Amino acid sequence: MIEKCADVIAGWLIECSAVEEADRELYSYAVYSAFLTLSPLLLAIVFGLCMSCMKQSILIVTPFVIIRKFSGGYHAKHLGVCLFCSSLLLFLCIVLSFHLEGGWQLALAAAAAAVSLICFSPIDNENRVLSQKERVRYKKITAVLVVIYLLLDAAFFWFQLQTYAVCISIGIMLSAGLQLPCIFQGLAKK
Amino acid sequence: MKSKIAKSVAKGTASVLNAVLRADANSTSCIIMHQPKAPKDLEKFRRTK
Repeated sequence: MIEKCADVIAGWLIECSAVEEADRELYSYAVYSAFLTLSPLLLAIVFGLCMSCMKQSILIVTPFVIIRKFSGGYHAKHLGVCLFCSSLLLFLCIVLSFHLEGGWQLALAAAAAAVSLICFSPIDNENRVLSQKERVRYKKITAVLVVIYLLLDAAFFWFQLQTYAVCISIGIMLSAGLQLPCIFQGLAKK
Repeated sequence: MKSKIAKSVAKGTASVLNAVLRADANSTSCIIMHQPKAPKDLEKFRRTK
C-alpha cells in the first residue's frame, strides 16, 4: 500500500514537471525512504503521548535513529513485519526505561554495546550494498557518533539526570542489539 | 492559479525528496528495520564515488 502511495506521489511530481519521467523509480524510492525515516520518530511521538513519557520516548529513539543510519543492522524482508517489530521493540524499550536505574552495570552494558557497534559497523544489506570506501567512512562516522552519545550519557549521569542517561544507554544498546542477528548469521556462515 | 500552487508544492516536495535521497545515498541504510531495494540512480547522490 505504501509502495502504491509512493508511486502515486512520484507520478504527481512528474505531472507537475518537478521531476523527469526517467526518475520515476528514484522518486518513488525517495518517498518510501522518507516514510521509513520518519516512522520511528512518529512511533516515538505516538507512544510518548499514549504513555505520557514524551521525553523518554524521544531520547530513546534519537540515538538509535542517528547511529543506525550509519551502523546498519538487521532488516526485515517485509515492511509489515518491520513496523510490527519496531513498534514492539520501542514499546518494550520505553517500559524498560521506567524500571532501569543508572549505575555501573548499565554503564558497562552501554560501553559493551558501543564497542560492538564500533567493531561490527557498518552492516549492509543486499538491497543496499556498500563499497569499500563507504565501509571505511561509515565505520568512522559510527565510531564518532557512539563516542559522542557515550559522553552525553556520562554527562547526564554526572549531573544526576538518571532518566536521560538510562534512555541514551537504551538507544545505544538497541542499535547494537539489532546488529546481533547479522553478526550471528555471519559467524554461522563461516 | 491552482496549477501554479500545485507546481510550487511539487517543486518543494521534490527538493525535500532530493535531500532524502542525498541522506540515503550517503549512509548505510534506512533507519528502521526494512531496506527497500535501492535504485541504481541513487549513486548520483553519493559523495564518495
